[in-house]
Amino acid sequence: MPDLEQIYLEYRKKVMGYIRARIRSFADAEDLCEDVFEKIQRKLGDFDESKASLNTWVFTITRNTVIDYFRRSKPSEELDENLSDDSEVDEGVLQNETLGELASALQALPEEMRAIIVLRYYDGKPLTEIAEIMGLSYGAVKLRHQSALVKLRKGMHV
Amino acid sequence: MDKLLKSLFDYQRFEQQPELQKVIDSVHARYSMRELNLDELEYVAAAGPLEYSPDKKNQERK
Repeated sequence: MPDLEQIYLEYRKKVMGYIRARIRSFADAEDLCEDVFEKIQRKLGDFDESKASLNTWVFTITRNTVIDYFRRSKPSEELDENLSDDSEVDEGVLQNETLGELASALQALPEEMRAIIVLRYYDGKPLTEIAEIMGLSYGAVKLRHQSALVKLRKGMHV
Repeated sequence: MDKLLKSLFDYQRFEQQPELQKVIDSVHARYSMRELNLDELEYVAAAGPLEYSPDKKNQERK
């Protein structure tokens, strides 16, 4: 089993990078980063590598810590849709290789479709805003978005 | 597919897979969107919040 110091050295940058992408306040991000490693320390005995890789396990703890932060600090606001519980998928797909597959499938798309997918799912922008950014009509973006999803499904074999 | 893509792009913020990051960066460059990297964010945080207000400054001069 890896020890906490090893995990800290290996994952601190990834954990902080993820938190900073979600939370503007640097002080809050630092506190959350500490919370993540405290949780890791507490739960390390429960870690089972037959169920999840260390990478996925650390990611899940980090993500849940960010979700808890938003629920605590802004209980009345709707959670970022990319963070909502509903979007959970099988953790088995959360692997570097799957991200590589996604990169290849995206590269095979026409440039505009690729941009729509990145702006929609990485940046979390609604299609109306994407249409403005790209200087296209909403209808054109909607059509290309649907078509891009079909091509990605085929390209990624999912 | 929608849920899968949301989860994968969320995971990318943690994993920073280089090939996928290149795709994301090229889209951001094409549409003039760029995220600050971690070092740049720390620099901004160290500089403190921006509180410049032209109105405030004019009042101080009076």
